[in-house]
Amino acid sequence: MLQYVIRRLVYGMITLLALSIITFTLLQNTGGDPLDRLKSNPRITQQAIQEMAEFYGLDQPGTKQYLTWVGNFVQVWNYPTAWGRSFQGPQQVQELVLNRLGGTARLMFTALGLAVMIGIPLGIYQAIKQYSFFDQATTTFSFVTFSTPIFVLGIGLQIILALKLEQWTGVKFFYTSGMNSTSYSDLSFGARIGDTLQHLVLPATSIALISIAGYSRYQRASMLEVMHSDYLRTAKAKGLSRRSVIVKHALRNALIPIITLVSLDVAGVLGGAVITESIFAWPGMGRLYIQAIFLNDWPIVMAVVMLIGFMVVVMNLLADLAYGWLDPRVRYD
Amino acid sequence: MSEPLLQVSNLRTFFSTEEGIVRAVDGLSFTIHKGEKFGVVGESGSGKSVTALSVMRLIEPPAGEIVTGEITFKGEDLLGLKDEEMRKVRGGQIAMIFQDPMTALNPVYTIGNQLIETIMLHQSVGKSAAAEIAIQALDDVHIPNPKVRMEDYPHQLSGGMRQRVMIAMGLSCDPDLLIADEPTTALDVTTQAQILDLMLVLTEERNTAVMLITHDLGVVAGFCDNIQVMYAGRLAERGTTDFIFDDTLHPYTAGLLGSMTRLDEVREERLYSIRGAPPSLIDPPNGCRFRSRCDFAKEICTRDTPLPREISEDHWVACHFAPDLDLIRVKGEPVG
Ligand SMILES: Nc1ncnc2c1ncn2[C@@H]1O[C@H](COP(=O)(O)OP(=O)(O)O)[C@@H](O)[C@H]1O
Ligand SMILES: [Mg+2]
Repeated sequence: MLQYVIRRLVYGMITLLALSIITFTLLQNTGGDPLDRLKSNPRITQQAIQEMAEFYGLDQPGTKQYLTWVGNFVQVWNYPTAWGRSFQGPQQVQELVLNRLGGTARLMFTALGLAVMIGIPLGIYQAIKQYSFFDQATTTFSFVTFSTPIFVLGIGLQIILALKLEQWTGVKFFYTSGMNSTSYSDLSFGARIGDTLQHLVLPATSIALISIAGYSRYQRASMLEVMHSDYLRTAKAKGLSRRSVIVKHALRNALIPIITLVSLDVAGVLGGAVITESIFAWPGMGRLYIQAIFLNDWPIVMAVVMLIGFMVVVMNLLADLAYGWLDPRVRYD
Repeated sequence: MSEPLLQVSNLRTFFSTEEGIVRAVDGLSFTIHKGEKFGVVGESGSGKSVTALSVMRLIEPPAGEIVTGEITFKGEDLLGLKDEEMRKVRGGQIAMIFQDPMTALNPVYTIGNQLIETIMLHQSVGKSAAAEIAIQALDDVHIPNPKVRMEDYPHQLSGGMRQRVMIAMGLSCDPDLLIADEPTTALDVTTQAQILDLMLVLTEERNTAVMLITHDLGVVAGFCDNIQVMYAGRLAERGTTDFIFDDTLHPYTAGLLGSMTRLDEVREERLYSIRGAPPSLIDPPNGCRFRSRCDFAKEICTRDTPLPREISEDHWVACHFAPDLDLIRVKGEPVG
């Protein structure tokens, strides 16, 4: 078991290494010169630009730049200088990115939690009530949601649940930008929680909706399959009540395949967060990342990509462990 | 014969599908007596499983429905029972085992867990007493090291072993009737014989009645007292095993016998095979459902549905021409 975890971590490292090489190569070849903006500024001399390029190591060949970057990047304990300096100014990338990590993590875990806690029970209930009005209505709803782009969902929620709701009721239920109000530090403990939730609900829901739709559809199918399985017929033939048949014999089996889906979806949720952060002015890595891409600020881009890759690797490992915990047929060797 | 245990009369079980109403079982009556070994034989699709599931009341609504009929078990009308009363019958008084032992056990629970669950459901015993009973039940079906096997998951056992577990589970609550739906079809020939022997010995010991469902007359031959041959949801022929094999009355039974491989016989001519395929059970036409495949069909077979008639004591057949057909050329010479 421990051996399995260690081996998976080693594979994870290799995956991350490959990810870093591919991303770096792509950025080098398509990103353009990070100093382009300076070059087009007539007040900056050729000499100054030359010095900048030397300072950042941009005059070196790509391979050399990559090796230098990796060598420094892995020394995460050299906070805050390990991940290099942003091309936009004096900020250290590690400091910039890690400061924003909390915001993204808050958004991501809330969205993932919502999706799991709503999507999975929804799918199970749909399967139990197959063909009912509830089943048909929610299945249609899931289908529509699943095919709607995330920015449409985000803006839609802003218009309906923030703008219109406030106009109709005169009460502000939800905020559409930022992580907290400016008055946050003056609030009482209870009011702080309220303020945090009021900011969190809409962006987290926009991300979660698509996952809820996906999970419930998948969970419904998996539950239906289990409900038609031979061992469920055996359970009924034993004389078990419908309740025990579902709770004991169907649920656990029906949950096994969904774990894989959720772990694969972590990357999707993070991708959703990147877009949602821009719509809701959420101070997370996503906005930093998009800005950095436009400015060819590759140390930031690389750092964000590596963090996302790291989270995906860790979540996949957790998913595999959960898989083995639910399914005795899985062996770790 | 001893007193009746299960009486099914005029059972009709239909399924509504997109193509139409499937008349899977269409007016079937039979009786199984205490301790009787009753075989149900017919090609796949003839309604054997649906008959068994109807008796268990495991036909799934809304698609499936028992449309008419009466099912009386130990004098009690099963179709009139409340759900929780029926649950006491299921697994307690009527146990059922299924065709595919590879999928019939829940993969995420141990053998012991699944056995103990059944036992505690029908007997008022605690967990440790139930475990004792379970170990004994595994021992009865000749599973080596039953105590250790209790901790095994289904995937750790072979197909034959799993079917033994199913039998142990079925018999653990000492039912009056064991329904075995093609219990050996998925197993290799050697294992097949072992499992049948085991089932016979155990149910004889306990005087448990068995409804043994199979598409293979060879399987029921050494096992059953009486055999019921079904065709397209209806009775074709029913009688003692000797009657069915030696005084065959229905051309379909004769066809099944003629196409049977027998280990004790060296055949000169080719194996017989019944031509054509069973009719659709959606809107079946009037008349005999077997007529399109029958070598003896006449005009009356298209016009009139043959009703089951008792030709001699306890030998029933649904054919207009029985007992006047010369079936020898279809089924081959009798053996011995
Ligand atoms: N759940 C169902 N829905 C629709 N048709 C069914 C269902 N179960 C059985 N049938 C139909 O009923 C007929 C008899 O099936 P079955 O009893 O399983 O045959 P067998 O004799 O092979 O056990 C078949 O034509 C089958 O297609
Ligand atoms: Mg069947």
